[in-house]
Amino acid sequence: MTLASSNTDKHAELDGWPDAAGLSDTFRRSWHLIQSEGRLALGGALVLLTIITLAFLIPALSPFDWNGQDLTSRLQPPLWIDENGLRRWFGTDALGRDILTRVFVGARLSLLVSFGAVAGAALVGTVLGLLAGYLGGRVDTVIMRTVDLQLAFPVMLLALSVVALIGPNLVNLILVFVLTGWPGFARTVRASSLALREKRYVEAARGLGAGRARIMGQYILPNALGPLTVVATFELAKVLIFESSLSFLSLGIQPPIPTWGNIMAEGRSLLEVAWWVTFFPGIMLVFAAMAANLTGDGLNSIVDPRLRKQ
Amino acid sequence: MSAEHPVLSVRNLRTEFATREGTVVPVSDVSFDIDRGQIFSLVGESGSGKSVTAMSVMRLVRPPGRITGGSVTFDDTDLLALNQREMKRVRGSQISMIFQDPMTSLNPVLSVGDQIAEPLRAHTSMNKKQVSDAVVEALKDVGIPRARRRLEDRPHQFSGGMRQRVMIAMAMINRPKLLIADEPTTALDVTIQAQILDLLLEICQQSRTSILLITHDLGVVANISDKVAVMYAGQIHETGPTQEVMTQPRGPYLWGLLRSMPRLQGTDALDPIRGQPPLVTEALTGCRFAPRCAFRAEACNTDPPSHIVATGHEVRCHFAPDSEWVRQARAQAGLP
Repeated sequence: MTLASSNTDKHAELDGWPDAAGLSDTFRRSWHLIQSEGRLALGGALVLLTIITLAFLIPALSPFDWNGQDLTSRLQPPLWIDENGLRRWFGTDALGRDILTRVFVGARLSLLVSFGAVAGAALVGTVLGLLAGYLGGRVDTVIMRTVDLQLAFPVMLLALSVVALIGPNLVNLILVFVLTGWPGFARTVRASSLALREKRYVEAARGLGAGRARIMGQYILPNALGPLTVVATFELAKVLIFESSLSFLSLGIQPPIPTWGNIMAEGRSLLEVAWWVTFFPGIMLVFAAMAANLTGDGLNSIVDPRLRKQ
Repeated sequence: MSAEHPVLSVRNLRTEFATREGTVVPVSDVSFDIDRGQIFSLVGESGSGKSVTAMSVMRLVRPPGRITGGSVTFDDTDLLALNQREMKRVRGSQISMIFQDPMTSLNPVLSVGDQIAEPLRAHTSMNKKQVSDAVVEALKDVGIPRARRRLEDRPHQFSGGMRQRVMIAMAMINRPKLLIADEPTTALDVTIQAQILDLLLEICQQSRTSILLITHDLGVVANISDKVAVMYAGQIHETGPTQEVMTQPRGPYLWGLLRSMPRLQGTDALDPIRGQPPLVTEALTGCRFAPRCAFRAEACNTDPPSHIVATGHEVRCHFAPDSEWVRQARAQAGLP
């Protein structure tokens, strides 16, 4: 007992946590993990979290309405190069609307679509991947051939034609990205299931009378969550960019409701006179997508021990 | 042996695996009975079909494996005639199983308490409180201290021996009539092995659970089992009451096995059985042990019948009734 507690104290010193002895084991272990493997993931996640927070704070605190036109202050440059001092931090667009407010209202929508689509795709892909991997046989064949079929389509082409067909609104956009995103999840989960279903503990659970659903839910899925999370973060970055691309091509959410893509589309023709209209939503997109990718990379190295650094 | 029905009665069991190279028959024509409360050992070298026999009894053989013949009667129920749902109801409640390697037999992400509760959840309608009480009780029974505080722990927080105790708790929580233990101590230290075996015996004795013990450790067999069956290449080569079979082996295979075991007394070099067991395909004819048998003769090219040489003692060898070879073998070994 004394040995154990002195050990704990040593860890506490190393961690730089003055009161680490009082922390629960689990917490300390996760802290170790984050320190050693997860700096990228942590950084990426923090950036994403900041963007999400700002997406709620800025439109609420901003004195300007996201759709408030002010024709007297059209194409104002950002605050720091603005001689008139109109307090427009990111400047204004061709209709005198505040870019800062619009970028973060747009962030809400872009993020909502992306997170919604990733969640939906993860759900569909995971369920189908589990069924394919654990049940095997004909179920596997049908599901995986559908995946192949889906992956044979260029994502953008599929998205364009589906949106053109069913119309561009929030729900349809999410549906489109679920449709294009699920095969990645299905493949990953199926691969994990194939490996996991041969594990002794799965056999033991079967031997003790656990049913298929329970084995898939309690024994296969939780053990497959690592790779699944990694795929989800990469998918998030992908969807963010695709959503903006669709919006840019005016096949996403329609103006005047702002998204990063359609703000950029509006600013495109003004690039020479008012770069800030395009720049700010663009840089936000870069940040968000990069943050998601970094999170994915970081998580990947935590999940896959072969990538662990000393 | 007793007037009671045997708990488990396996007759002419045959399990095949269809592979690209042809059909492999790891279990062909296996028959045995296990009585209530009896400890029955199935021994044999790797690949002799012990585990496949056990998996066949549980109906857990996965494709391309298939049970193609014989019958498995458990407590007057023909297990091979049950549908999947009915079979699921038997597993974990009436027949349970523990595995060789406790390190990999527990789900790393599920708490130990949840895993032990699995058979309760699958087979009873207890509420949360009752389940957790039963689990704590089960953990205490297998000698895990501070049981209630360990419910939320994950398997990696337990040592190998403790995990095997957890496995036993899990398998025994519904007081099954039959426990199939597939090399339960192979992965453990020798000292822990003894503890775990003692525990297993004690718990099974309390609930009069029969054990089908799969092992290749003849020492364990001699120590704890009532009855033993020696498997070779998918068939039972010799079976009978442990005491009799181990002291008076009548089949050349078991004879060879016992001769190749190191003993404390005696400094003689070990006398191994030379050669490898055959690949168990359909094409095998004649006595399967013949190619490695020191006493083989013309007759061994035909399938040997099972000879009853004493009460309950059966040997699949042409020459079992005629104990001439036994006398020869004993003479060779310098025994009276």
